[in-house]
Amino acid sequence: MQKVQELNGELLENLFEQAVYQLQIHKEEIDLLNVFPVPDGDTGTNMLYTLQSTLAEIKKQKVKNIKNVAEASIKGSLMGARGNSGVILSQIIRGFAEYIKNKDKIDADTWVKAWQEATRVAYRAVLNPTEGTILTVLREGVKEATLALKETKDILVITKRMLDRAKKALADTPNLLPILKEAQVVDAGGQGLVYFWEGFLNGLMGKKIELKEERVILREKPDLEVIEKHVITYQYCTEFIILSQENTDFSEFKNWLYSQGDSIVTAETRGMLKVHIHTNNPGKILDRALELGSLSQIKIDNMAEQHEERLRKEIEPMPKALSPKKDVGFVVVSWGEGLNQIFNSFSVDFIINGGQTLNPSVEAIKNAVEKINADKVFLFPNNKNVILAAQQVENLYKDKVIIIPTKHVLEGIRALVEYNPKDSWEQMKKKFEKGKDSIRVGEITRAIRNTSINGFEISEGDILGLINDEIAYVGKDINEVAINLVEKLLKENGEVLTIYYGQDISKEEAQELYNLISQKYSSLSIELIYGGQPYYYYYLGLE
Amino acid sequence: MPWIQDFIFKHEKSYQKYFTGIGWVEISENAIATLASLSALQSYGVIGMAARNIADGISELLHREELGRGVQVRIAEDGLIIELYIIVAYGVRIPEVAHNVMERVKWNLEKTTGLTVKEINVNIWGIRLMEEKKESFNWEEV
Repeated sequence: MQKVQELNGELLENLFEQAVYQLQIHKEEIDLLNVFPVPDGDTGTNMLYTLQSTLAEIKKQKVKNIKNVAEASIKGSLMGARGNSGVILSQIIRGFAEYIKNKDKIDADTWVKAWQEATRVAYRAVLNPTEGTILTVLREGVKEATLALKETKDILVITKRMLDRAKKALADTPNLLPILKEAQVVDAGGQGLVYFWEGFLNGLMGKKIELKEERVILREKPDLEVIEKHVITYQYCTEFIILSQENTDFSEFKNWLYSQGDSIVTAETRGMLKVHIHTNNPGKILDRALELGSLSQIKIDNMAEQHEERLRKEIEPMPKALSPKKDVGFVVVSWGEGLNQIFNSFSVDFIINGGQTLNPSVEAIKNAVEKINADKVFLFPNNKNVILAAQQVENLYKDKVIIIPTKHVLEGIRALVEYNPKDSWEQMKKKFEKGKDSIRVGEITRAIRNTSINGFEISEGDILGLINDEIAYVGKDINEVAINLVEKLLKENGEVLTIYYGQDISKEEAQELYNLISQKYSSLSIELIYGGQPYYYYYLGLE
Repeated sequence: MPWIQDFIFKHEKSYQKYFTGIGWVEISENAIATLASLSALQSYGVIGMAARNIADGISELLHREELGRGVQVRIAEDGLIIELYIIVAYGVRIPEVAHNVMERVKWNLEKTTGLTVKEINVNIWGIRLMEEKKESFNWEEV
């Protein structure tokens, strides 16, 4: 096997040439690995671009001595550095080239020291190097080269060992960088470096591959705004390759293309022409192209579609989940588990939690109203303190909100009993108002402090019976007060009594009261329902 | 984080505060600044953050705890505007490094916070040759 003891400037040029070739054939593969630091799939493209710029600068040199080639590579890589990995690669090349540029010859010692310098320079430009990237692959490879130097002065062997170790380090990158493991890839930049060194090794082995004169076409990401403002004059993005005879002259066809659209890009090699054009008549283009040869990799996109879709996404806010539109909706203020259930059974759209001590805000009512997709929304405040807030909402939505000024949940329930979906909203309003007025409400609760109202001397702990928020009876026993309250309610006419027992009353206690009342007032039809209301032992509704 | 995206209405995305179905998430400017500066510092070619608004124009390399000072966060109607004040390594291609920083910071911020980043402006406040950490490259000992 041949040995390489020394390198000169011309060989150095060939190394870069082979590196460019390796990157060229593996560009897409590297692009696909690119998930870190930003998964934009351009690592291979960027590294290739950086290397091509480096090589182009080297090729400009008339005298290919080490100094000229090294300095050109520093300049070329710096100017052409593109993307994160491109910048790192330019630092690697700079470190390497700075070290060799004043040497007369490059022997194994210089070769290894130059790579050590490259590693130093590359690491110097980052504060917190991330492990599991191109830097890790570089460092591990150069470590191996340092070890190899102790055993041989053959640059070829050293480079081979450096490359093999780099490949191992590359395979290990997913263990160092979790995001790579997640994506099940190795680091894209590290892979790029491996191909870069592979190119160098090929060059050292004397391989010479003629580079195709193909500059990488950079995928520029167009500014979103530019796209939006761009008026599409040609609608279809059309791409294809014509496979033809070796001596086919495409120039006439190419000239003709300019009359058919814009954004025309063509790339020609012997007997092949790649075409990219934006046109309004892709069929015509393809017809004409078919006269020249067979077509391959045909791709036609409607750009207006892409354009529109993008615009739509930009403009449309997220669709709000709306229920199907109804004629009328209901919002009630309620409290207590059992009472809420009753309202639910009336298909009320929205229950606002309220209560004697917790009056809902205008905001809460407004939000509830807004959520209902209906022409008219009936609002049942169910408390005289809430009516005012409800009226403010009514002012905001004059056409939508109708308040039924119920002062008590029982009035609300009574009103809703009248609901008939076949009625017009005007009829409903009348019936609801009539309904609420047809019931008289009594409440039983406990005094929380000593006071004197309406001629009643009340001490803390007394049981109070209220009618229309006014104290009608005071006693010590809940059942006694309840019976007396019914008596007072019955001063006006009434046939049906509904008893809602609160959360502090057990079912048995409620049953006991039910029995007492039904014995005393046998003519009444009585119903016992769990209301679950806080603070109030019983609500009594009579009509 | 798709579950966050689900609940962010398009026009509310620039707010640091958004609703997620069961509650509000608010991300302070301070938190955004720290995230941005950590991302920037991981970028290749960046070796420090600089204190901004220094009257005499001398840039000051910030210590780790005060990283947020090298970042300015503004809330615009259609997204965050981030000003970064960085110190880069000597010898790198500055426009490219700046561009990489923009992409990286934007990506990291959008990915981790769910907010939209409208602009990232990179101000190169200084260039330094970083001292090497001796222990990392003692080639004689390998």
